[in-house]
Amino acid sequence: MPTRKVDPMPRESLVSDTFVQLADTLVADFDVIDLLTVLASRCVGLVDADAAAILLADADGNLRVMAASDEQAHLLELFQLQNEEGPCLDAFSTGEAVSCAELSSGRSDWPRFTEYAVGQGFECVYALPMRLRDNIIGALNLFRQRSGPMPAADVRLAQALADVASVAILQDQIARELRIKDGQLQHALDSRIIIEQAKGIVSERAHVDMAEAFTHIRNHARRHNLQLTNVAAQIVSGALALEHVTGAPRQLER
Amino acid sequence: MAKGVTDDRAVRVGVAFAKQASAAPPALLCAACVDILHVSGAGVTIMSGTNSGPVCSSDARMARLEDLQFSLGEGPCRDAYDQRAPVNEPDLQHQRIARWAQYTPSALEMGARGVFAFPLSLGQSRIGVLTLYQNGAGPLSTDQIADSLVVADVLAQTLVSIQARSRRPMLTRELSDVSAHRAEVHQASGIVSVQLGVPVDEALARIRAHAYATDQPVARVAEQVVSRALFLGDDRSNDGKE
Repeated sequence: MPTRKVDPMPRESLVSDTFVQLADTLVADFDVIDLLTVLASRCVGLVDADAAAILLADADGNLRVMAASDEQAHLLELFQLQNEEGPCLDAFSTGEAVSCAELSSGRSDWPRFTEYAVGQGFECVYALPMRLRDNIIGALNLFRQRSGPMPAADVRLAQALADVASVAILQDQIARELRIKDGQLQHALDSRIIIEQAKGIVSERAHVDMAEAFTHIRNHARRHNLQLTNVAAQIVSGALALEHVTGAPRQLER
Repeated sequence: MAKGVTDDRAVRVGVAFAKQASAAPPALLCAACVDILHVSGAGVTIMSGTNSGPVCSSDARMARLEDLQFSLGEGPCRDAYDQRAPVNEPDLQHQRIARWAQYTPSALEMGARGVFAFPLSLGQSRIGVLTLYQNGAGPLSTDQIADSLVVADVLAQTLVSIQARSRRPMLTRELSDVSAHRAEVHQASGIVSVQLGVPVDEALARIRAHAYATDQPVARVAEQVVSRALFLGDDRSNDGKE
Protein backbone atom coordinates (compact mmCIF):
# COMPACT_ATOMS: atom_id res chain seq x y z
CA MET A 1 0.00 0.00 0.00
CA PRO A 2 1.49 3.33 -0.98
CA THR A 3 -0.41 5.06 1.82
CA ARG A 4 1.27 3.07 4.53
CA LYS A 5 3.10 4.98 7.28
CA VAL A 6 2.93 8.36 5.57
CA ASP A 7 -0.81 8.53 5.14
CA PRO A 8 -2.55 10.47 7.90
CA MET A 9 -5.72 8.40 7.41
CA PRO A 10 -6.37 6.91 10.84
CA ARG A 11 -6.03 3.15 11.04
CA GLU A 12 -9.62 2.83 12.24
CA SER A 13 -10.96 4.33 9.01
CA LEU A 14 -8.70 2.16 6.93
CA VAL A 15 -9.91 -0.88 8.84
CA SER A 16 -13.57 -0.08 8.47
CA ASP A 17 -12.99 0.86 4.83
CA THR A 18 -11.46 -2.56 4.23
CA PHE A 19 -14.32 -4.32 5.98
CA VAL A 20 -16.80 -2.45 3.85
CA GLN A 21 -14.89 -3.37 0.73
CA LEU A 22 -14.85 -7.02 1.76
CA ALA A 23 -18.48 -6.96 2.87
CA ASP A 24 -19.50 -5.44 -0.47
CA THR A 25 -18.41 -8.61 -2.13
CA LEU A 26 -21.06 -10.42 -0.10
CA VAL A 27 -23.86 -8.78 -2.02
CA ALA A 28 -22.36 -8.28 -5.47
CA ASP A 29 -20.99 -10.62 -8.07
CA PHE A 30 -17.32 -10.71 -7.33
CA ASP A 31 -14.14 -12.38 -8.34
CA VAL A 32 -12.55 -14.47 -5.61
CA ILE A 33 -9.04 -13.61 -6.77
CA ASP A 34 -9.83 -9.88 -6.66
CA LEU A 35 -11.20 -10.25 -3.16
CA LEU A 36 -8.16 -12.13 -1.91
CA THR A 37 -5.77 -9.71 -3.57
CA VAL A 38 -7.50 -6.87 -1.72
CA LEU A 39 -7.17 -8.84 1.49
CA ALA A 40 -3.47 -9.61 1.01
CA SER A 41 -2.45 -6.07 0.09
CA ARG A 42 -4.61 -4.50 2.80
CA CYS A 43 -3.03 -6.76 5.42
CA VAL A 44 0.36 -5.29 4.60
CA GLY A 45 -1.03 -1.81 5.11
CA LEU A 46 -3.01 -2.55 8.23
CA VAL A 47 -0.95 -4.90 10.34
CA ASP A 48 2.70 -5.05 11.19
CA ALA A 49 3.69 -7.21 8.22
CA ASP A 50 5.87 -6.68 5.14
CA ALA A 51 4.23 -9.24 2.93
CA ALA A 52 1.10 -11.39 2.89
CA ALA A 53 -0.22 -14.26 0.81
CA ILE A 54 -3.22 -16.55 0.74
CA LEU A 55 -3.57 -20.24 0.02
CA LEU A 56 -6.98 -21.64 -0.79
CA ALA A 57 -8.07 -25.25 -1.19
CA ASP A 58 -9.52 -26.18 -4.58
CA ALA A 59 -12.48 -28.52 -5.11
CA ASP A 60 -10.25 -31.55 -4.53
CA GLY A 61 -8.80 -30.15 -1.32
CA ASN A 62 -5.42 -29.26 -2.84
CA LEU A 63 -4.01 -25.93 -1.73
CA ARG A 64 -3.21 -23.29 -4.32
CA VAL A 65 -1.65 -19.85 -4.08
CA MET A 66 -4.55 -17.50 -4.73
CA ALA A 67 -3.15 -14.07 -3.97
CA ALA A 68 -0.03 -12.35 -2.68
CA SER A 69 0.93 -8.79 -1.80
CA ASP A 70 4.08 -9.14 -3.93
CA GLU A 71 6.09 -11.64 -5.93
CA GLN A 72 8.34 -12.53 -2.98
CA ALA A 73 5.34 -13.59 -0.90
CA HIS A 74 4.01 -15.56 -3.85
CA LEU A 75 7.27 -17.51 -4.05
CA LEU A 76 7.25 -18.16 -0.30
CA GLU A 77 3.85 -19.81 -0.68
CA LEU A 78 4.88 -21.85 -3.70
CA PHE A 79 7.93 -23.02 -1.78
CA GLN A 80 5.69 -24.31 1.04
CA LEU A 81 3.49 -26.18 -1.41
CA GLN A 82 6.36 -27.72 -3.33
CA ASN A 83 8.15 -28.84 -0.19
CA GLU A 84 4.98 -29.83 1.58
CA GLU A 85 5.95 -28.02 4.74
CA GLY A 86 5.41 -24.57 6.20
CA PRO A 87 3.23 -22.52 8.52
CA CYS A 88 0.43 -22.04 5.99
CA LEU A 89 0.03 -25.78 5.48
CA ASP A 90 -0.03 -26.33 9.24
CA ALA A 91 -2.63 -23.62 9.79
CA PHE A 92 -4.77 -25.21 7.06
CA SER A 93 -4.47 -28.75 8.37
CA THR A 94 -4.94 -27.91 12.06
CA GLY A 95 -7.33 -24.98 11.77
CA GLU A 96 -5.20 -23.16 14.35
CA ALA A 97 -3.02 -20.08 14.04
CA VAL A 98 0.65 -20.94 13.66
CA SER A 99 3.63 -18.63 14.12
CA CYS A 100 7.36 -18.31 14.52
CA ALA A 101 8.73 -14.93 15.62
CA GLU A 102 12.42 -15.79 15.20
CA LEU A 103 13.02 -17.97 12.20
CA SER A 104 16.81 -17.70 12.33
CA SER A 105 16.83 -19.21 15.81
CA GLY A 106 16.35 -22.49 13.92
CA ARG A 107 13.63 -23.72 16.25
CA SER A 108 10.77 -23.88 13.80
CA ASP A 109 9.03 -27.05 12.64
CA TRP A 110 9.85 -26.30 8.99
CA PRO A 111 13.60 -26.53 8.34
CA ARG A 112 13.49 -26.12 4.54
CA PHE A 113 10.92 -23.33 4.61
CA THR A 114 12.82 -21.55 7.38
CA GLU A 115 16.08 -21.62 5.47
CA TYR A 116 14.40 -20.25 2.39
CA ALA A 117 12.46 -17.52 4.25
CA VAL A 118 15.52 -16.35 6.14
CA GLY A 119 17.41 -16.29 2.86
CA GLN A 120 14.70 -13.96 1.55
CA GLY A 121 15.18 -11.68 4.56
CA PHE A 122 12.17 -12.69 6.70
CA GLU A 123 12.44 -13.34 10.41
CA CYS A 124 8.84 -13.56 11.54
CA VAL A 125 5.92 -15.51 10.09
CA TYR A 126 2.28 -15.95 11.05
CA ALA A 127 -0.27 -18.22 9.41
CA LEU A 128 -3.97 -17.79 10.17
CA PRO A 129 -6.63 -20.31 9.14
CA MET A 130 -9.47 -19.12 6.94
CA ARG A 131 -12.46 -20.89 8.34
CA LEU A 132 -16.16 -20.78 8.85
CA ARG A 133 -17.50 -23.07 11.54
CA ASP A 134 -16.15 -26.52 10.62
CA ASN A 135 -14.95 -25.60 7.16
CA ILE A 136 -11.33 -24.66 6.69
CA ILE A 137 -10.96 -23.27 3.23
CA GLY A 138 -7.40 -21.95 3.27
CA ALA A 139 -4.89 -19.87 5.21
CA LEU A 140 -3.52 -16.34 5.32
CA ASN A 141 0.24 -15.99 5.69
CA LEU A 142 1.90 -12.85 7.07
CA PHE A 143 5.65 -12.25 6.77
CA ARG A 144 7.84 -9.65 8.50
CA GLN A 145 11.53 -8.87 8.11
CA ARG A 146 12.00 -7.85 11.73
CA SER A 147 11.97 -10.58 14.40
CA GLY A 148 9.74 -10.63 17.44
CA PRO A 149 6.05 -11.38 18.00
CA MET A 150 3.35 -9.40 16.24
CA PRO A 151 1.08 -7.22 18.42
CA ALA A 152 -1.94 -9.29 19.52
CA ALA A 153 -4.30 -6.62 18.17
CA ASP A 154 -2.73 -6.97 14.71
CA VAL A 155 -3.17 -10.72 14.74
CA ARG A 156 -6.81 -10.34 15.77
CA LEU A 157 -7.41 -7.82 13.01
CA ALA A 158 -5.79 -10.02 10.37
CA GLN A 159 -7.89 -12.96 11.55
CA ALA A 160 -11.06 -10.84 11.36
CA LEU A 161 -10.23 -9.80 7.80
CA ALA A 162 -9.59 -13.44 6.90
CA ASP A 163 -12.94 -14.41 8.46
CA VAL A 164 -14.87 -11.88 6.39
CA ALA A 165 -13.14 -13.11 3.26
CA SER A 166 -13.99 -16.70 4.24
CA VAL A 167 -17.67 -15.86 4.55
CA ALA A 168 -17.62 -14.19 1.15
CA ILE A 169 -15.96 -17.17 -0.49
CA LEU A 170 -18.29 -19.71 1.08
CA GLN A 171 -21.34 -17.68 0.09
CA ASP A 172 -20.04 -17.43 -3.44
CA GLN A 173 -19.56 -21.20 -3.57
CA ILE A 174 -23.06 -21.87 -2.26
CA ALA A 175 -24.57 -19.39 -4.70
CA ARG A 176 -22.73 -20.98 -7.62
CA GLU A 177 -23.78 -24.47 -6.61
CA LEU A 178 -27.40 -23.47 -6.21
CA ARG A 179 -27.42 -21.53 -9.47
CA ILE A 180 -26.40 -24.67 -11.32
CA LYS A 181 -28.95 -26.78 -9.52
CA ASP A 182 -31.75 -24.29 -9.77
CA GLY A 183 -32.18 -24.73 -13.52
CA GLN A 184 -32.85 -28.37 -12.67
CA LEU A 185 -35.96 -27.50 -10.73
CA GLN A 186 -37.54 -25.44 -13.52
CA HIS A 187 -36.55 -28.08 -16.06
CA ALA A 188 -38.15 -30.79 -13.93
CA LEU A 189 -41.40 -28.84 -13.63
CA ASP A 190 -41.50 -28.09 -17.37
CA SER A 191 -40.75 -31.74 -18.20
CA ARG A 192 -43.56 -32.99 -16.08
CA ILE A 193 -46.06 -30.68 -17.74
CA ILE A 194 -44.84 -31.15 -21.30
CA ILE A 195 -45.04 -34.94 -21.00
CA GLU A 196 -48.69 -34.69 -19.95
CA GLN A 197 -49.40 -32.37 -22.88
CA ALA A 198 -47.67 -34.77 -25.29
CA LYS A 199 -49.76 -37.66 -23.91
CA GLY A 200 -52.89 -35.65 -24.65
CA ILE A 201 -51.74 -34.94 -28.20
CA VAL A 202 -50.80 -38.55 -28.98
CA SER A 203 -53.98 -39.80 -27.36
CA GLU A 204 -56.15 -37.56 -29.51
CA ARG A 205 -54.25 -38.14 -32.74
CA ALA A 206 -53.87 -41.89 -32.41
CA HIS A 207 -57.19 -42.53 -30.64
CA VAL A 208 -55.60 -44.28 -27.70
CA ASP A 209 -55.89 -43.77 -23.96
CA MET A 210 -53.36 -41.90 -21.86
CA ALA A 211 -51.50 -44.99 -20.71
CA GLU A 212 -51.04 -46.20 -24.27
CA ALA A 213 -50.08 -42.72 -25.41
CA PHE A 214 -47.36 -42.66 -22.78
CA THR A 215 -46.13 -46.10 -23.86
CA HIS A 216 -45.79 -44.82 -27.44
CA ILE A 217 -43.80 -41.81 -26.32
CA ARG A 218 -41.56 -43.84 -24.03
CA ASN A 219 -40.92 -46.51 -26.65
CA HIS A 220 -40.02 -43.90 -29.23
CA ALA A 221 -37.58 -42.34 -26.76
CA ARG A 222 -36.00 -45.73 -26.06
CA ARG A 223 -35.80 -46.72 -29.73
CA HIS A 224 -33.97 -43.55 -30.60
CA ASN A 225 -32.06 -43.27 -27.34
CA LEU A 226 -33.62 -39.88 -26.61
CA GLN A 227 -34.78 -38.33 -23.39
CA LEU A 228 -38.47 -38.66 -22.70
CA THR A 229 -38.73 -34.91 -22.20
CA ASN A 230 -37.10 -34.17 -25.55
CA VAL A 231 -39.49 -36.45 -27.40
CA ALA A 232 -42.43 -34.88 -25.57
CA ALA A 233 -41.19 -31.38 -26.41
CA GLN A 234 -40.90 -32.31 -30.09
CA ILE A 235 -44.42 -33.69 -30.11
CA VAL A 236 -45.81 -30.57 -28.46
CA SER A 237 -43.95 -28.23 -30.81
CA GLY A 238 -45.07 -30.28 -33.82
CA ALA A 239 -41.47 -31.01 -34.83
CA LEU A 240 -42.01 -34.75 -34.55
CA ALA A 241 -44.51 -36.38 -36.89
CA LEU A 242 -46.93 -38.60 -35.07
CA GLU A 243 -46.51 -41.69 -37.22
CA HIS A 244 -42.92 -41.88 -36.03
CA VAL A 245 -44.13 -42.03 -32.44
CA THR A 246 -46.98 -44.49 -32.79
CA GLY A 247 -44.92 -46.66 -35.11
CA ALA A 248 -47.53 -46.81 -37.88
CA PRO A 249 -48.85 -44.20 -40.27
CA ARG A 250 -52.30 -43.14 -39.30
CA GLN A 251 -55.09 -41.42 -41.03
CA LEU A 252 -55.46 -37.99 -39.54
CA GLU A 253 -58.84 -36.61 -38.82
CA ARG A 254 -60.87 -35.32 -41.63
CA MET B 1 -29.58 -15.11 3.48
CA ALA B 2 -31.32 -12.28 1.67
CA LYS B 3 -29.20 -9.50 0.30
CA GLY B 4 -28.91 -6.80 2.86
CA VAL B 5 -30.67 -8.85 5.51
CA THR B 6 -28.04 -8.99 8.17
CA ASP B 7 -29.80 -8.08 11.39
CA ASP B 8 -30.08 -10.59 14.19
CA ARG B 9 -33.81 -11.06 13.85
CA ALA B 10 -33.54 -12.10 10.23
CA VAL B 11 -30.79 -14.54 11.08
CA ARG B 12 -32.87 -15.98 13.94
CA VAL B 13 -35.94 -16.40 11.75
CA GLY B 14 -33.88 -17.85 8.92
CA VAL B 15 -32.22 -20.38 11.18
CA ALA B 16 -35.50 -21.30 12.90
CA PHE B 17 -37.22 -21.81 9.57
CA ALA B 18 -34.28 -23.62 8.01
CA LYS B 19 -34.32 -26.05 10.95
CA GLN B 20 -38.02 -26.79 10.50
CA ALA B 21 -37.71 -26.91 6.73
CA SER B 22 -34.83 -29.37 6.74
CA ALA B 23 -36.51 -31.66 9.28
CA ALA B 24 -39.97 -31.70 7.73
CA PRO B 25 -41.09 -33.33 4.49
CA PRO B 26 -41.86 -30.72 1.79
CA ALA B 27 -45.58 -31.24 2.34
CA LEU B 28 -45.15 -29.63 5.74
CA LEU B 29 -43.11 -26.63 4.59
CA CYS B 30 -46.27 -24.54 4.49
CA ALA B 31 -47.19 -25.47 8.04
CA ALA B 32 -43.75 -24.20 9.08
CA CYS B 33 -44.44 -20.93 7.20
CA VAL B 34 -47.72 -20.43 9.06
CA ASP B 35 -45.99 -21.19 12.33
CA ILE B 36 -43.23 -18.68 11.86
CA LEU B 37 -45.09 -15.94 10.00
CA HIS B 38 -48.31 -16.04 12.09
CA VAL B 39 -50.69 -15.94 9.13
CA SER B 40 -53.91 -17.85 8.43
CA GLY B 41 -52.48 -19.89 5.61
CA ALA B 42 -49.49 -20.38 3.33
CA GLY B 43 -48.88 -22.05 -0.02
CA VAL B 44 -45.72 -22.75 -1.99
CA THR B 45 -45.71 -23.07 -5.77
CA ILE B 46 -42.88 -23.80 -8.17
CA MET B 47 -43.01 -21.69 -11.31
CA SER B 48 -41.29 -21.76 -14.68
CA GLY B 49 -42.46 -19.32 -17.31
CA THR B 50 -46.19 -19.86 -17.55
CA ASN B 51 -45.96 -23.27 -15.89
CA SER B 52 -46.69 -23.77 -12.22
CA GLY B 53 -46.82 -26.66 -9.78
CA PRO B 54 -48.02 -26.48 -6.20
CA VAL B 55 -45.67 -28.01 -3.64
CA CYS B 56 -47.75 -27.66 -0.52
CA SER B 57 -50.62 -25.83 1.12
CA SER B 58 -51.05 -25.34 4.85
CA ASP B 59 -54.78 -26.11 4.72
CA ALA B 60 -57.67 -26.95 2.39
CA ARG B 61 -58.60 -23.31 1.86
CA MET B 62 -55.09 -22.45 0.74
CA ALA B 63 -55.13 -25.42 -1.64
CA ARG B 64 -58.37 -24.15 -3.17
CA LEU B 65 -56.96 -20.63 -3.47
CA GLU B 66 -53.90 -22.00 -5.29
CA ASP B 67 -56.09 -24.00 -7.66
CA LEU B 68 -58.24 -20.93 -8.22
CA GLN B 69 -55.20 -19.01 -9.45
CA PHE B 70 -54.19 -21.87 -11.69
CA SER B 71 -57.73 -22.12 -13.09
CA LEU B 72 -57.96 -18.42 -13.82
CA GLY B 73 -54.37 -17.75 -14.77
CA GLU B 74 -54.41 -14.64 -12.60
CA GLY B 75 -53.84 -13.72 -8.98
CA PRO B 76 -51.15 -12.58 -6.53
CA CYS B 77 -48.89 -15.55 -7.22
CA ARG B 78 -48.72 -14.89 -10.97
CA ASP B 79 -48.16 -11.15 -10.37
CA ALA B 80 -45.37 -11.71 -7.84
CA TYR B 81 -43.65 -14.06 -10.25
CA ASP B 82 -44.05 -11.85 -13.32
CA GLN B 83 -43.11 -8.63 -11.53
CA ARG B 84 -40.32 -10.21 -9.45
CA ALA B 85 -41.67 -8.30 -6.46
CA PRO B 86 -43.86 -8.99 -3.43
CA VAL B 87 -47.60 -8.45 -3.85
CA ASN B 88 -49.58 -7.01 -0.94
CA GLU B 89 -53.36 -7.06 -0.93
CA PRO B 90 -54.41 -6.42 2.68
CA ASP B 91 -58.11 -6.32 1.86
CA LEU B 92 -59.64 -8.01 -1.16
CA GLN B 93 -63.01 -6.50 -0.26
CA HIS B 94 -61.81 -2.94 -0.48
CA GLN B 95 -58.97 -3.01 -2.97
CA ARG B 96 -57.06 0.20 -3.49
CA ILE B 97 -56.07 -1.01 -6.91
CA ALA B 98 -58.85 -2.97 -8.57
CA ARG B 99 -57.16 -6.14 -9.83
CA TRP B 100 -57.84 -9.80 -10.56
CA ALA B 101 -61.40 -9.33 -11.80
CA GLN B 102 -62.12 -13.04 -11.59
CA TYR B 103 -59.82 -14.09 -8.76
CA THR B 104 -60.91 -11.47 -6.22
CA PRO B 105 -64.62 -12.35 -5.85
CA SER B 106 -63.90 -16.08 -5.80
CA ALA B 107 -61.12 -15.74 -3.23
CA LEU B 108 -63.42 -13.70 -1.00
CA GLU B 109 -66.08 -16.33 -1.37
CA MET B 110 -63.56 -18.95 -0.25
CA GLY B 111 -62.95 -16.95 2.92
CA ALA B 112 -59.67 -15.18 2.19
CA ARG B 113 -59.58 -11.49 3.01
CA GLY B 114 -55.92 -10.50 2.70
CA VAL B 115 -53.53 -12.12 0.23
CA PHE B 116 -49.76 -11.67 -0.04
CA ALA B 117 -47.22 -13.19 -2.38
CA PHE B 118 -43.42 -13.30 -2.21
CA PRO B 119 -41.27 -14.41 -5.14
CA LEU B 120 -38.84 -17.23 -4.41
CA SER B 121 -35.58 -16.61 -6.18
CA LEU B 122 -31.93 -17.51 -6.17
CA GLY B 123 -29.77 -14.76 -7.54
CA GLN B 124 -31.31 -13.78 -10.85
CA SER B 125 -33.38 -16.90 -11.30
CA ARG B 126 -36.95 -17.26 -10.19
CA ILE B 127 -38.02 -20.51 -8.56
CA GLY B 128 -41.62 -19.92 -7.54
CA VAL B 129 -43.80 -18.04 -5.11
CA LEU B 130 -44.79 -18.14 -1.44
CA THR B 131 -48.43 -17.09 -1.11
CA LEU B 132 -49.99 -16.14 2.24
CA TYR B 133 -53.57 -15.41 3.13
CA GLN B 134 -55.29 -13.91 6.14
CA ASN B 135 -58.85 -14.54 7.25
CA GLY B 136 -59.15 -10.93 8.34
CA ALA B 137 -58.37 -7.66 6.57
CA GLY B 138 -55.20 -5.74 7.37
CA PRO B 139 -51.62 -5.40 6.20
CA LEU B 140 -48.80 -7.65 7.33
CA SER B 141 -46.67 -6.05 10.04
CA THR B 142 -43.19 -4.82 9.19
CA ASP B 143 -41.77 -7.81 11.05
CA GLN B 144 -44.02 -10.22 9.18
CA ILE B 145 -42.88 -8.79 5.85
CA ALA B 146 -39.21 -8.90 6.85
CA ASP B 147 -39.61 -12.47 8.09
CA SER B 148 -41.49 -13.50 4.95
CA LEU B 149 -38.58 -12.31 2.81
CA VAL B 150 -36.18 -14.41 4.87
CA VAL B 151 -38.49 -17.42 4.77
CA ALA B 152 -38.84 -17.00 0.98
CA ASP B 153 -35.05 -17.11 0.70
CA VAL B 154 -34.72 -20.26 2.74
CA LEU B 155 -37.64 -21.84 0.84
CA ALA B 156 -35.98 -21.19 -2.52
CA GLN B 157 -32.79 -22.91 -1.37
CA THR B 158 -34.76 -25.74 0.22
CA LEU B 159 -36.78 -26.48 -2.94
CA VAL B 160 -33.69 -26.46 -5.11
CA SER B 161 -31.83 -28.77 -2.74
CA ILE B 162 -34.76 -31.20 -2.56
CA GLN B 163 -34.83 -31.49 -6.35
CA ALA B 164 -31.03 -31.68 -6.44
CA ARG B 165 -31.13 -34.78 -4.24
CA SER B 166 -33.04 -36.57 -6.98
CA ARG B 167 -30.93 -38.47 -9.50
CA ARG B 168 -33.60 -38.28 -12.17
CA PRO B 169 -34.35 -35.19 -14.22
CA MET B 170 -38.06 -35.56 -13.45
CA LEU B 171 -39.68 -33.46 -10.77
CA THR B 172 -39.18 -35.41 -7.57
CA ARG B 173 -42.30 -36.92 -6.10
CA GLU B 174 -41.89 -34.94 -2.88
CA LEU B 175 -42.38 -31.76 -4.88
CA SER B 176 -45.11 -32.97 -7.22
CA ASP B 177 -47.50 -35.07 -5.16
CA VAL B 178 -49.79 -32.15 -4.52
CA SER B 179 -49.99 -31.22 -8.22
CA ALA B 180 -50.92 -34.71 -9.42
CA HIS B 181 -54.52 -33.63 -9.99
CA ARG B 182 -53.31 -31.11 -12.54
CA ALA B 183 -51.89 -33.78 -14.84
CA GLU B 184 -55.29 -34.13 -16.45
CA VAL B 185 -55.45 -30.43 -17.22
CA HIS B 186 -52.21 -30.67 -19.18
CA GLN B 187 -53.39 -33.82 -20.97
CA ALA B 188 -56.58 -31.97 -21.87
CA SER B 189 -54.48 -29.10 -23.24
CA GLY B 190 -52.76 -31.56 -25.55
CA ILE B 191 -56.09 -32.99 -26.70
CA VAL B 192 -57.66 -29.59 -27.31
CA SER B 193 -54.56 -28.37 -29.16
CA VAL B 194 -55.06 -31.20 -31.66
CA GLN B 195 -58.81 -30.71 -31.86
CA LEU B 196 -58.58 -26.98 -32.49
CA GLY B 197 -55.22 -26.93 -34.25
CA VAL B 198 -53.76 -24.43 -31.78
CA PRO B 199 -50.62 -24.42 -29.58
CA VAL B 200 -50.98 -26.03 -26.13
CA ASP B 201 -50.81 -22.67 -24.34
CA GLU B 202 -53.79 -21.44 -26.29
CA ALA B 203 -55.56 -24.75 -25.69
CA LEU B 204 -55.12 -24.25 -21.93
CA ALA B 205 -56.52 -20.74 -22.26
CA ARG B 206 -59.55 -22.15 -24.09
CA ILE B 207 -60.10 -24.72 -21.33
CA ARG B 208 -59.84 -22.00 -18.70
CA ALA B 209 -62.27 -19.79 -20.60
CA HIS B 210 -64.76 -22.63 -20.89
CA ALA B 211 -64.46 -23.38 -17.17
CA TYR B 212 -65.07 -19.75 -16.36
CA ALA B 213 -67.99 -19.38 -18.77
CA THR B 214 -69.70 -22.50 -17.44
CA ASP B 215 -68.74 -21.83 -13.81
CA GLN B 216 -66.92 -25.10 -13.33
CA PRO B 217 -63.47 -25.89 -11.92
CA VAL B 218 -60.80 -26.30 -14.60
CA ALA B 219 -60.10 -29.80 -13.32
CA ARG B 220 -63.70 -30.87 -14.05
CA VAL B 221 -63.59 -29.45 -17.57
CA ALA B 222 -60.28 -31.25 -18.13
CA GLU B 223 -61.77 -34.50 -16.93
CA GLN B 224 -64.59 -34.18 -19.49
CA VAL B 225 -62.13 -33.36 -22.27
CA VAL B 226 -59.98 -36.36 -21.43
CA SER B 227 -62.99 -38.71 -21.29
CA ARG B 228 -64.07 -37.18 -24.63
CA ALA B 229 -67.39 -36.15 -23.13
CA LEU B 230 -66.68 -32.56 -24.09
CA PHE B 231 -65.29 -31.04 -27.28
CA LEU B 232 -64.26 -27.43 -27.19
CA GLY B 233 -64.44 -26.98 -30.96
CA ASP B 234 -66.97 -24.27 -31.76
CA ASP B 235 -68.99 -26.43 -34.12
CA ARG B 236 -69.17 -29.55 -32.04
CA SER B 237 -69.10 -28.57 -28.42
CA ASN B 238 -72.87 -28.70 -28.02
CA ASP B 239 -73.84 -32.02 -29.48
CA GLY B 240 -70.57 -33.83 -29.06
CA LYS B 241 -70.83 -35.51 -32.46
CA GLU B 242 -67.60 -36.47 -34.16
